[in-house]
Amino acid sequence: MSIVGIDLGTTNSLVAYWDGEKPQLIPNAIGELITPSVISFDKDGQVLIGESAKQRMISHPELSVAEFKRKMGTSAQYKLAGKKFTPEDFSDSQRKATKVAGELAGLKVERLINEPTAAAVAYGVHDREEESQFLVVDLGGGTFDVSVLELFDGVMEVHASAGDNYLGGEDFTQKITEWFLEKNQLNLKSLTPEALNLLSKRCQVAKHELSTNEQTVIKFHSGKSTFEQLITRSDLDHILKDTLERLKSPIERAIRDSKVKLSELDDVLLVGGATRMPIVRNLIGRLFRRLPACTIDPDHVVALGTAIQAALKSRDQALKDIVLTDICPYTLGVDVVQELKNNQYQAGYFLPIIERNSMIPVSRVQTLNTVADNQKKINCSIYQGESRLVKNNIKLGEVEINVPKGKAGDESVDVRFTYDINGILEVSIKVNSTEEVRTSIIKSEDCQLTDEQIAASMKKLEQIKIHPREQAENRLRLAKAERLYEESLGDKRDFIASIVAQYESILETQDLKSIEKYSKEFDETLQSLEEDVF
Amino acid sequence: MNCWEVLVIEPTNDKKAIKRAYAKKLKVTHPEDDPVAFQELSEAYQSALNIADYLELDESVYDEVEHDVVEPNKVIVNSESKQLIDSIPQAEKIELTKPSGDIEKIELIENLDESFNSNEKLDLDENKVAEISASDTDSFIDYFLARMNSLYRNSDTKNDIELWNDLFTEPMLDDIEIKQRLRYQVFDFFSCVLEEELQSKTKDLFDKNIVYGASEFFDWREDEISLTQYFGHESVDIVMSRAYGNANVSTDNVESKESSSGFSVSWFFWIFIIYVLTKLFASLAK
Repeated sequence: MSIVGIDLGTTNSLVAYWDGEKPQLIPNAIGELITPSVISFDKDGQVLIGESAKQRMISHPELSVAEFKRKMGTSAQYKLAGKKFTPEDFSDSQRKATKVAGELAGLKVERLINEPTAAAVAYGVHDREEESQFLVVDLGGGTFDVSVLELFDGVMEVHASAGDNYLGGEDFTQKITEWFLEKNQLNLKSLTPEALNLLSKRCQVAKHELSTNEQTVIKFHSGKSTFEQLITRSDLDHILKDTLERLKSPIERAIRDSKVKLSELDDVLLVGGATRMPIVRNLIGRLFRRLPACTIDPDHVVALGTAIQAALKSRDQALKDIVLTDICPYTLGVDVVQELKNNQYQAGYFLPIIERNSMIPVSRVQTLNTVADNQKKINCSIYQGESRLVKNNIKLGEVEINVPKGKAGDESVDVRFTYDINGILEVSIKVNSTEEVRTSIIKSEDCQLTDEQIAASMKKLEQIKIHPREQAENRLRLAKAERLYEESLGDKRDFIASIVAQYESILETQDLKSIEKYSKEFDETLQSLEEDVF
Repeated sequence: MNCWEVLVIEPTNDKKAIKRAYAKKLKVTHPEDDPVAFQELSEAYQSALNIADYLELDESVYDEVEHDVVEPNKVIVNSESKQLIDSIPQAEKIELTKPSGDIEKIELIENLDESFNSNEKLDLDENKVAEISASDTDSFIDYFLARMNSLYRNSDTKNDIELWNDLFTEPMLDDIEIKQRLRYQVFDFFSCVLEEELQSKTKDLFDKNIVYGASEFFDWREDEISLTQYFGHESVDIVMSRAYGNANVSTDNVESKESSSGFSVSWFFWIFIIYVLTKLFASLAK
């Protein structure tokens, strides 16, 4: 049984596998390698995914949802077709949510992989002949990651990684949309969801066009009024200035943590669709005083990297001389009381035990002493974060242990943190005088569902009907036509309505031959309609 | 077992050789199969690389380190340079890597005063600024620190946010290396001047928005832990509380049952109150 690698992206998702020599992407039902991360329901309550669902974002915004990955692990709820959906019900962390989602879909989730590591691994295996140190900048639809990696003698060593989970291409589109609304004195609330989705699609197209052209026009109609707005590259510079600033901090942090000098970096590699934008490339170029490289399709890199990591995990023969060492991306520690001056104590300080960017698996010990006479117990709260005060960090758990009475400082405990390759943290506390040990396992990403819960969820999922594979292409055609209908005006609308009705009636006949014949014509008509929307 | 024994090589400063030895052993010490042995290996590998740095210390490297030490102190006006030198990370490095650095250190302190004086005389008109920022990294860093100091020392410009904004949006700061080098030096400056303010009990306080701006710019909050290791809790507290308000200072004191000193203070307090009250009632009764 082989393991596949899945890149579950904010905007698009991809699947890849290791064919024994190299990673390969797996096309979806309609033959595309990239599947938009969009879900939509049709009037019968059937689920549409990918391109068809994306088309329906404009024609049926109330039945469709995109960018849900950003909300995974939060308590956000989506209401579609009268049903409520929570990106995940067992709330805790995004990674856990992702794992649960995978298990619910009937997949055995072997391991969650750091996105920048995956991207770096794809490049590592791709250009394997050289010894090198490189930095990977991964700017996707919704997340931004940076990692520094070194390659030598078959070792792929991740030095440091940093990122921003709420920064990506979708934010750029959002900014352009806001700018458009302001320029045309439109109120966000006055727009219907259809109009808003249409506008943001238009802004996205404009964003893409500005990657090759100096300027373009955003055309948009809402109700009876039509707007045309010229946008130039320098407008874009201005609109995205603040958003782009946010790219700097994770890059600087990764460099700082890796202790690599800029002159020692052999390459700066770009990953993720948003790195196609010249404005992003220019910024990176300015920061590093060199041109960034991009030799693998930036949309494919992460998926290819996950397939390689899957192969590494199953110890594929072709990769037997490669070992990947990863790191723990954040600092883990406990809260302590600090002595500030003589006999003045202050609580709430964070004592790091495993520092961020330590190679994993790792296990470290710190010895703590009692601070009061006759202290009865020691309570260790476990935190993750970079602040020196625990209140600004994230609490992961708590372990308490009794200590024998004695003078302050006489009793001591050893706190041991063990962080394994799957991101599971084990905390054990040992009282040195009594040898008593307490252990607690903090599964930062483990699925804690019982078998019954999974079975129940699977049963619920069975009720959701997904279109059979052979229908996927037909559904996409209809969804496209519906979207065009929404985007068009007047006679053209009527025309689209009539050809849709005709196509639907042909589909009803279930005569494969005539469906196939008419589908071709339908595609051509749609294509010509697409080319002159206005 | 020392790191060389774990890596099965003779001590060397050839990093490539260290990496080769590590790679060879890693193939038979897979992180998934044997975490304990892997950790021993990875730690040996990292300390070997660190030691290699030390063995490598030649003239050019030393110059570089020396350079870093001079700069942060240029901006420091107070004469307690000795103490400050000890508190900055680069200076620590010198002590670690070159135990005989004492003589150089004294020289450094002397240089310090000179360079500071010369910087103070710097004429900072517009032309000069443009000229300096166009030149290389080192002179930009000198310029930045001097400019920062002169802005702060002049009461007219001390809290002029516009001027501080101009300084922090210098295009040269886009350069990662420049920004990294300034990061700790600027923190040192801010913690020193804020500490001065605190001690002199002055009313003319440094605008919290400027401190906030600097902290956000350098992302000090991401590195609070290492800043604390270098500068101590108090310095970090001073800067963070000015930038982000008291929410960023640990205020929750230890409960009395945990702190014996707190307990005894309150104990004496109550004894005192009872004593006063009894005296009071006694005199009233009279």
